[in-house]
Amino acid sequence: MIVLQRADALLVRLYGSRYNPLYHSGAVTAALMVLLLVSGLYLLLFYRVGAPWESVARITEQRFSGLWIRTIHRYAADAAVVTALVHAWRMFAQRRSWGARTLPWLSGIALLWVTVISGWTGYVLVWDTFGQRLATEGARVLDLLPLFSEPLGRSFAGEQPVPGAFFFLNLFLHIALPIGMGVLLMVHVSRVARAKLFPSRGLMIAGGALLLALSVAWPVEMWDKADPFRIPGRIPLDIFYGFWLVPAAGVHAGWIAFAFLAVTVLLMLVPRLTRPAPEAVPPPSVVNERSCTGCTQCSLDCPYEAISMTPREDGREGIVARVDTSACVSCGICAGSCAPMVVGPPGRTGKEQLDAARRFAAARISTGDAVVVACARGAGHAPGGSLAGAPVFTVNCAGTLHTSVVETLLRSGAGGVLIVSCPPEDCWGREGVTWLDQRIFHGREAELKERVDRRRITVAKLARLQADEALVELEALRRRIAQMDMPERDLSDVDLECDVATAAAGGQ
Amino acid sequence: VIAVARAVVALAALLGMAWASRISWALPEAGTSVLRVSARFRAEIEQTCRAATAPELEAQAAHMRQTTICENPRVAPYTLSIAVDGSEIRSGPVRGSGRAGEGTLYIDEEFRVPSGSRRVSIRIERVEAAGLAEPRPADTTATDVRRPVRRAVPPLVAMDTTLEVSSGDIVLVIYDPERETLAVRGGS
Repeated sequence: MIVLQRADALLVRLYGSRYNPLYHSGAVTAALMVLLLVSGLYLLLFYRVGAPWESVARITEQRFSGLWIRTIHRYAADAAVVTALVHAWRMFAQRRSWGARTLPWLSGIALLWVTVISGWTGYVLVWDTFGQRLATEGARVLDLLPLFSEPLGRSFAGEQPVPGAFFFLNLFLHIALPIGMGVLLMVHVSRVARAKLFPSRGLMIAGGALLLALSVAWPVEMWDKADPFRIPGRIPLDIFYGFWLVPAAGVHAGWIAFAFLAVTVLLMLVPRLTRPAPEAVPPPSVVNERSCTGCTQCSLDCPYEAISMTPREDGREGIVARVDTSACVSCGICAGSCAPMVVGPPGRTGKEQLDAARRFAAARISTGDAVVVACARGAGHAPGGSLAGAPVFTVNCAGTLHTSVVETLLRSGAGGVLIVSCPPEDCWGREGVTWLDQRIFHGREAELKERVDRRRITVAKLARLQADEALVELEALRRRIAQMDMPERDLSDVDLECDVATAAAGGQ
Repeated sequence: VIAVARAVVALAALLGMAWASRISWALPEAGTSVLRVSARFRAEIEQTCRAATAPELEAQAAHMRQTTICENPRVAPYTLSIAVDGSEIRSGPVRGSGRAGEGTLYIDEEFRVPSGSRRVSIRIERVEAAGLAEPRPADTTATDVRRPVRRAVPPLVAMDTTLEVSSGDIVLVIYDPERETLAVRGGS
């Protein structure tokens, strides 16, 4: 986890969160798949199953129309494995792999394997020494299964030329598997709202340009043609697809199959293994249906499509929010979205946040100094409860923050409020930081009231290890509020919609 | 400084990926020689047969009467033995394909052999079922074996020859079904 946090902090400093590839690893993988599809379809026009190596050699001889496109295809395939692994590692390290996220995790593992298998078939299509090694070692493993009437390994023994049907089958799989991946991808993102399938245009253009530059500067070469009667001294090895060939050399095929199976089973068990103990599993959001106004905002904002609006069943007119507990990940974004504070995970609803803020204000706010509202996973989180002398009010995720908390802190005597959130691309609740920003500065429903002076509020979107930047933001806020008149401390109750709604619902 | 750092990090990541994409791997078997035996052949089918008894014949319509009743067809067992310079390196049964092992017989074996001139002996041999013979129609109680019911590999296919094997060579021995002999491909 610490490695991930350091890498995040470094790349955010260098490229900003918008262009940090680690934040967009899943979307970058999908974009690479599209690049692979386009370049692969082009290469397909010139490939011949009857003369695989020769046709690839002809492609490679054409610098502009062949070599560079083949190189881009190859490097994009490698990059896809890297970004997919980064994405999986990220989800694992951030414990986003269990509960309602089990389906995305499992489909992601399937996508990773299909990517690797598709890559194997691509290398075999070239039929050079690396492709031959993949084929013969793969045949050793597949021949363990009682699936084939004739051992596959014999096809490469040299008794007969490798049949064109074999390359046709590989070509079919090389095309069919990515098409199947499209279906898997739909399953993979089916549990999230507004799935971001591609990274920002800038990142795509920059990534594409870098791949092109690399392809021109360091293009792939034609390796030796496969020869069934010669043992090559050395073979080229693409570590991203041939990672298993080195440990598999000379090992019984059963052990290779066992290793693949064991890794797959282990990965499939991750949702089970990373699931917290039952008492530590955060409860899903609940709705106080009596007080729900049916505004639909929580349903719109929920990043996991876990909230739907249904007709009321209590005899009153209108609709009410309902939470699908099997889809809810307890991110709490709905708590910040609900102006009347009637939805959210138990203990983290807007009303409970407000109660905590009132207690915090009574105990910690006194001098007109800035107050830090920190995401527990972000750079502002201070175990001692204080950041450079400023009291820190910690929330589970800044995206869950109800705007009434901000108003309460200011009206309780805070000179300003620094909200330290994660970058919007890395929010625990996916879109939480985006919604928070819009609620505070752009009037999104459950908005911060107009009477609150926005100059006293800063939202710093920082990676976990950017504590230095949090201090810089804090000092900037302090300088700003020092130049402003300190308003009268107003401890009278804030005119909160929750209180209004509660009164309307009969005091729940 | 930031711009340079951006470029350095992006370049390092890309070059690292490209390097990992084209590692040169020295094969552990490099410099050795390999004897590969790859063969495909059909085995004989053995059946347990006996002469039909008179009541059995009478129970059948005239055009359905078979004087010999055969049951329990099975693939005849074969063994493969390979010796290099007089040392046996493989000896054992050849299993048929399919779950029951009743399909076509396949051999797909590889052995590392030292380079140079090598005396190679290979025998594919049917194991005779003990105590079984051709059926005797007159004997109504005998239980025998009848063979063959299809064209199959001869009971013994053998090769005993000297091969010149160079470093890095793969010498392939196959079964030639036309000549019903073992043949050598590759090597010197």
